[in-house]
Amino acid sequence: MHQRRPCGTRACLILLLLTAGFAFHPGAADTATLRLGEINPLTGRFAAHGAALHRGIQLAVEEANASGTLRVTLATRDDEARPDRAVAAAEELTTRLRVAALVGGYVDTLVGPISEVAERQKVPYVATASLDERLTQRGYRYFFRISHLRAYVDSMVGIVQEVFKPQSVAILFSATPGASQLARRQRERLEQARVQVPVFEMFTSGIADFTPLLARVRDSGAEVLIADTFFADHLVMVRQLRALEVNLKAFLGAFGMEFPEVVRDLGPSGQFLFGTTGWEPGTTEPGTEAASRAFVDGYRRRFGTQPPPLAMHGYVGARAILAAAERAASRGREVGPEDVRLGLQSLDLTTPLQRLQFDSRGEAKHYRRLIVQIQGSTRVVVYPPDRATGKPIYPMPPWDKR
Amino acid sequence: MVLGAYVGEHLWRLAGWSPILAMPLAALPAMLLAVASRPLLARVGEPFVLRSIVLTFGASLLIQSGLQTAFTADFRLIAAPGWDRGISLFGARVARGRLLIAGAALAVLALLHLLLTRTFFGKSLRAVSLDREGAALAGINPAGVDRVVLALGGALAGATGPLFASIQYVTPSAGIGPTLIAIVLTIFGGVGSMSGLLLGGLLLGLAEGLAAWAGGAPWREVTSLGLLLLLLRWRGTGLVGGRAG
Repeated sequence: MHQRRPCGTRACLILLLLTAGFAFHPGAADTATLRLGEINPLTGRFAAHGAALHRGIQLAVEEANASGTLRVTLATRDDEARPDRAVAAAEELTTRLRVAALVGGYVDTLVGPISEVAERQKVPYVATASLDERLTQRGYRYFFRISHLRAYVDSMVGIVQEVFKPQSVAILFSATPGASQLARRQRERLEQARVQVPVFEMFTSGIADFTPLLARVRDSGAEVLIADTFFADHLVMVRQLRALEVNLKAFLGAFGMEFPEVVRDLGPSGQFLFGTTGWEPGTTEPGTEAASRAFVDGYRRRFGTQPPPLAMHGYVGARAILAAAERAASRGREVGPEDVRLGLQSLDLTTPLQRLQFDSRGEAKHYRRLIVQIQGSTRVVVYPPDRATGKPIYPMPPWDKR
Repeated sequence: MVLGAYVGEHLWRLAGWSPILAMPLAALPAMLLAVASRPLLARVGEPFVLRSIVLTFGASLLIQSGLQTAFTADFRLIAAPGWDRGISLFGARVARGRLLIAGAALAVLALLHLLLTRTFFGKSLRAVSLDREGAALAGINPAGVDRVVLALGGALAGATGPLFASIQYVTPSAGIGPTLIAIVLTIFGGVGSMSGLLLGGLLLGLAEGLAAWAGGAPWREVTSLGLLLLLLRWRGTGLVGGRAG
């Protein structure tokens, strides 16, 4: 029987020539490479959030590759919103694929486990959406994040104290570490300011029936409801507020109020609701206008839609790593984890979101949250005053007047 | 159910169909999917119950991935106009949409009850469920009954979809929560008892709501699972189930 040769002479010659061609190609030797690992919930209950973060990361990587200063390979893994999958993905990316850095993550139940693996494997990790204060109090050297709890507390308590000025506030919060800590900090600050918090209730995100909790809010006489939970819970909660005719002076949601579906799906019920955002197209930190416009244009060209604010978090997380890697890239070799970590520690970068610098614990120094209110088909920034683009409508009209 | 929810959401968004009107069309793809699974289930060996659970769990993961590819992971909600308005009923405020959903669910249950008790097919189905070989000796085709039961189950799950999507947002993985509730309810009400399911659903819902209102949200699950444990201790076959053994 005829046996095939593993490599014919002619084929081997062609292979050799091709290899030589690549090796001597100008730029091949001086373009440094970066292996970047991404972990996000692309399926499961946070899939919409993970998809937004992923697109931002993808855009940043594609821009870096197009610029030619760095050749970046991105390995993306789906954690399915499950901590065990997040750990498995982090182990695979750091040990088998040997990535130089990790990026991504939504909610601390997923970010926390990834950060443990990253620290153990000495691979820097930039979390794109994380709040749990304990994560930056561990003395970890490889953990960085672009959001933090204080920004949420400052903006949400700030508008309550300075604009709403109520006697009593109800707080409902999801049973995640970040949301629970946020609610506790809000209660502390409000009680210090002598604002009563008669309802302070935790619930499991994703429940279909908020009626008993909203009845407690109504019976307590609270004027303002703070909902420290996610986008989909807001949709269900607001519809039930209307059904029960709980007339609040303000509804203030923590996460996901910037999703366009809030306006689309809630219709008139969504009018006058307040929420937080880190960035909105057209609402930029002074000095970042050009970068913000370029991001919006680039995103629209690539994905054909307006970027959701969470995509900006993904973009900035990836941009931080790429900027940190660029210093090592100038030496023309494969960028390693230590190169990225050192670069992140001394980073001072103007991004479309904000100026980005990390403190010694890995927290973004200049991160801020804005308060927006849905007015018509747009979201108007109403707080803090130095970033406001419109005036808040307060109190919200009762349900039967909408 | 999630497939039906997506069909209902599309019909509502693109053509303005009410969730109740969308129920028959939403039932169709779920019914076809259930019938298509029949050859797979027919090949499952003993222990049938355990293996079929594993098989359907695997199939549900595949369906989730398929739904995500087809419809993306975006949250979908049927925000039917007026359904979030409340009306007063015996001194309590109830969402109009929830009342309509309860009415539609009761109507479907009544039809199912009539089908099972007043038609030849219903009697055949119960006969096959009680004694497969005996039913075959009496001239009933058990395999044919299996096919229709699968189709009926799929259709009922699909028809529920638009109703579910009008009170709760839908994602490809949104079926997990209702599946767990269905399992708890089946045990609580008693396997094979429609009246037990209805009574159990009402009792558990009321107990959960009252517990959350009086004690806070964490008491919701504690109450329902506590009641389930108590009931199983007192009556192993559920509220209306037959005598065990």
